[in-house]
Amino acid sequence: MNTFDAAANPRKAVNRGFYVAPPARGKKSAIALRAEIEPSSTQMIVGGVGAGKTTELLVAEPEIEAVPDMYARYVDVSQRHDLRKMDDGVLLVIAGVELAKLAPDQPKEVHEAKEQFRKWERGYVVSVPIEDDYPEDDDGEPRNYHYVHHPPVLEPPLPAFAPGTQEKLIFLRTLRAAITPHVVLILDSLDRMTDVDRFRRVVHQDVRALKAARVGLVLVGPARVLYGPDRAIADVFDHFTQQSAVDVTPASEGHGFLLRVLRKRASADMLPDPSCERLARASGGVMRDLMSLARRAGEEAYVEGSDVIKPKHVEAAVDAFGRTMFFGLRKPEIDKLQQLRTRGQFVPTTDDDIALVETRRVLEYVGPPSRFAVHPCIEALLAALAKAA
Amino acid sequence: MELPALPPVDPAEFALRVAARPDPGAWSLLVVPIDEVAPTAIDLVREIETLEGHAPVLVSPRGGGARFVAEVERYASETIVAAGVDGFTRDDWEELDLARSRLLREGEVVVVLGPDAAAELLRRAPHLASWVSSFAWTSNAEALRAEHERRKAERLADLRAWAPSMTDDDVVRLAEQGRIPGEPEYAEWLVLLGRGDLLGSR
Repeated sequence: MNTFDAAANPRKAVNRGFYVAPPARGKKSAIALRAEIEPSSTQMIVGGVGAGKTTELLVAEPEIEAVPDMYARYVDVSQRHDLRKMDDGVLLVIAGVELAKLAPDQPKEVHEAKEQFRKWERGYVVSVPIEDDYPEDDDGEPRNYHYVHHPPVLEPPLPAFAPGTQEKLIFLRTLRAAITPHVVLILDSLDRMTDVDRFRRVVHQDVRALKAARVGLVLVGPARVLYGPDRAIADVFDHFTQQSAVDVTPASEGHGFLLRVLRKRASADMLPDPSCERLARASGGVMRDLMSLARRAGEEAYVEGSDVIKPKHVEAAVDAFGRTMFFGLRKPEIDKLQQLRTRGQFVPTTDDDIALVETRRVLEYVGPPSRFAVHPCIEALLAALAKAA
Repeated sequence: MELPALPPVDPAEFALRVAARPDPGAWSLLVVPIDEVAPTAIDLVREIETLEGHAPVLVSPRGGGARFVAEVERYASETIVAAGVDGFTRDDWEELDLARSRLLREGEVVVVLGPDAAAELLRRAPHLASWVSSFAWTSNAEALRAEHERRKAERLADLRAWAPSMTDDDVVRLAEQGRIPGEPEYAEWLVLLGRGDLLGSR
């Protein structure tokens, strides 16, 4: 059953040949196509937990690289930097370090730019003169005045580049100019950022600076930017894609896609069609949940001594999954889920509402028409709860 | 109506599942009453050692999320039984979630924790929670008793469907008369009805 590992490294799954192209995908992913058409464009991908975003990025990387004159570099930001300390400047340094690997060591200014990014990456020490107790002006005369700052009356919609951003941008442009082909950075894991204000700063400074330096960018952002006033953050990017759960309506393209994903990993001898069908529906179209349910169903079969994953093993997995999703829910949350289940009403406005989406108790399907639905694994439990009330 | 509870599991069966699982890097939760976390973790280590032939590493990351990540990275290829996350704050769980890529590993991880901490993990660490959605169990006496009764009722229903012309009373009467058929299903039927004492009268 290790072909269904939900906690496995997505790169390993791709390398093992388990990738199945999603519906409506051409020969290349939309991410790679956009990067090929507009190499210096910025793309933001947003989607729920376990929707398969990382897999799509990993597949896009070699597709971009296969285009003449294009480099692509995938970076899992969380492996390089503590995301709790994420702030403006971090992505520029990561970009500089990656470009430094591609750039030649000559001429001198390129070498210096590479060195500068290495310093920013690892930290460095400089000597700074100790200031006198008495301030002096530029001519060395004692200063008998002070500064009064008058902020500008007009404030541009987007903030100006901070001094630190401007400095990094100069070196980044030097490196970028030294690399003839196009460069596309693929930055993963920023969807885990819960502090939207920090993410906004990163976008307003680093993403705009990367665009100014003509570095192509594909970035995974937090799902929270989809809802409420934070949606404006997406406007900074040239392209914005929402990767939602796959539509699991029987006979839909999405349903067939999920069946192909399962079949790629298990033969009909081990996983007969009825079990496959049930797993696809129960997953709600969330790739990681599909893997997780299949593996649990396989474990149930193993415990029973069966080589075949029967529908009853799938039902046990669905029940266990639903119970885990239910665990820790509070009454207001259950009420919201019931409202969605019975009336189809759900508008994510509060943090608790958004948390229901982030924890996949509520799934969003991008339309048209877009809709929300409770996760299929908790639907029966909610119905039983309502009936008993 | 009570809210649906986590699936119950006997600790020995849980250990068997862990030992038999072929997946690298699988994560699972065992939720127990808070005062049973430490003894359950110790028992689990012994059970898994018996089954696997070598002891898993018992870690107690009381230092918070960063300490937990460090412990998981330190023992990257070994089975880990972790206990002591019950004092984790919201920040600890969020920290763990942010570092999820660093938690990808070869060995298996079992987290033994109390109900409140489990609820916090599922709420505050959605990425990590998505790994354990199918692999969370509870182990307490009441839940196990209820599960035992559920399984008993399910098996009795199977046996009644297997011999639809027989009722529970028929099976007991035939056993009392020493005329119970020889198939093992009838012996199991009697045991499940609490009349295993009649087996000798066959």
